[in-house]
Amino acid sequence: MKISKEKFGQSVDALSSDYRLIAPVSEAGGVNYKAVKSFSDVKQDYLNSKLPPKSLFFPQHEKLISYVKNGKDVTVKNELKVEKTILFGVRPCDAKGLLLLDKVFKNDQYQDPYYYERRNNTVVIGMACKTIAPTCFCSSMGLSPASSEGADIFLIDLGDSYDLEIITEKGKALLGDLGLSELTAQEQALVDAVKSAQTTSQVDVSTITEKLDKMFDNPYWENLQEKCLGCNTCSFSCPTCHCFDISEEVCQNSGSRVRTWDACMAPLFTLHGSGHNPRSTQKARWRQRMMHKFNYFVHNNGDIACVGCGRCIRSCPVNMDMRQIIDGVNKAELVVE
Amino acid sequence: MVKNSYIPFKAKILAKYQQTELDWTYRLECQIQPIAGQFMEVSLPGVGECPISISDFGDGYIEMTIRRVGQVTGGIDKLVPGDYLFLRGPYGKGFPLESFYNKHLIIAAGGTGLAPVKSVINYFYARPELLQRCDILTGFKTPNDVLFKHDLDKWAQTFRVEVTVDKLDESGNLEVIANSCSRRTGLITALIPDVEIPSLEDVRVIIVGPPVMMKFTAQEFLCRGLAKENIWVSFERKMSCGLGKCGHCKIDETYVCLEGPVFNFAQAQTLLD
Repeated sequence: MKISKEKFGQSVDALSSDYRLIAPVSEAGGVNYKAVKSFSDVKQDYLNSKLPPKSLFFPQHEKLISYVKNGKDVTVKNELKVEKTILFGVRPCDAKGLLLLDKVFKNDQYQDPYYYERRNNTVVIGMACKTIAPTCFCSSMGLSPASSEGADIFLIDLGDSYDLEIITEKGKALLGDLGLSELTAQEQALVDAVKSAQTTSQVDVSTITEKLDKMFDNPYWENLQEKCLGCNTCSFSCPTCHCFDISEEVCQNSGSRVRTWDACMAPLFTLHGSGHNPRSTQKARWRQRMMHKFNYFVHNNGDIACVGCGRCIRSCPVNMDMRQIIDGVNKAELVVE
Repeated sequence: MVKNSYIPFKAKILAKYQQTELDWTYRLECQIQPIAGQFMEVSLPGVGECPISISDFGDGYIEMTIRRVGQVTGGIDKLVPGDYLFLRGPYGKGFPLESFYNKHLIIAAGGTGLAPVKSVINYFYARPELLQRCDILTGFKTPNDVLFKHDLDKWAQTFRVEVTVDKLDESGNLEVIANSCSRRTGLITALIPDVEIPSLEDVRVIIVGPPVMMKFTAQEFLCRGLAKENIWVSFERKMSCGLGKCGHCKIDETYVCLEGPVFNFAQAQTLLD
């Protein structure tokens, strides 16, 4: 069903007293998700954001608690603040990324208070990809440029209008009755074309979890990491990476305990206070990264923790390419004991 | 609103006892009922937070033995009774005390590794009839690094307690160590071949200490014919959140803070970085 962009924008703007609108905007260095005042400020033609929208739920840096010291007396305060949010224009890879983060922070066993509240108070409006980057490989990860998994409402851009699909009750409740119209035959053909598109770049992950079960001691890891700088860019730009550190920020008598993204590619990640570092080589750290995404996460949560967004490939300063590394795992010879 | 596990509670320092130049035991006013071997996230607002194992507990208090090694422990070192620490926890799995009932328990602890097993020893010291016998083997760097001297002395009244030090310090004497224990120099691994084992099937072993010590101590016990399943170890990892989320303590798909820090050796030996 179809809705004009103008009418859709009016519906979203009409909610602005209750919801903040977060959407892709152009800024120096690329497109990113930011708060916008009006739907007219939203960037419509974008490949994907430079960073995934995970930071809206799991910020790069956030206060957990704050405190004020008065002599030896300390008052501790919870710092959780949540705003109702419409998150517009999420690509299929990133919407799936949020579902994977839910497996960590919002599930029956555990609810992270900060992530959980933000996620519950956000409606995700997904957007199909009409342009596919050469580094995209979501089709290999069980997705496609038009998969609506993880979105509450899903849109396909038709120029002056959107093809709109309500996916969840949450999405239905947000916009109410929009007065949608039927697609023309030409528009239907465009929707069909977007829905049948696949990424040109593909990798095979059909057996990677089982293969990695047998590869902990494989010589494949020996040379893999040689050019890695351990800069963490791959983790920080990943929609599913979720490791963090807890530290303090202090200014005179007040301060806060903050949670900051951390990543397994850095030597400090596992360093103990005693000086002992159980994962002391970049080889072990790369193995950890691959194992976590394609093996451990599968064992713990039933899914591969990669959505094929290709950000790690685009952002790596030394051109390490996840697709080649996956391919390398597939081709690695198993060591017979 | 879901429960916020990150908000710590205040615990008053009731007493502070010096163990060595760097280690102090803090008794904290606290109503939690931990299991021996569990740990707490201990913090000082403005300094930081770190995981510390519970070395003992009783009605209305817990004890933690803390070595001054970094920022947080350095800050804690400056506190005096009446001051407060901030805590959250207890976290992790402790020692399965019931699986040691009616067994021959051997505890091998290296350095501060004695802290997380202290409450295990005290539990059985108060109920010696629950064990067939108990050997406590401890290893420290020098006589000045020996922890819980009075407790070692006390335990030696009921159990066999051996203390070994890697080397003597300038004073060159072992007398500073509790005098009812058997004392010598050398590595803790050297004590294991001499442990009298009347019935191999009844032996249960706890090993806690630095990673290298645990590795070689476990090997010695395996050489004595012990089954892996009858050995328990406790891991030390950087556990920032204690909730199985931050990723720092993760070894393969195992979060040490959730599934450990106490592990059966059959599982522990498969945990590789």
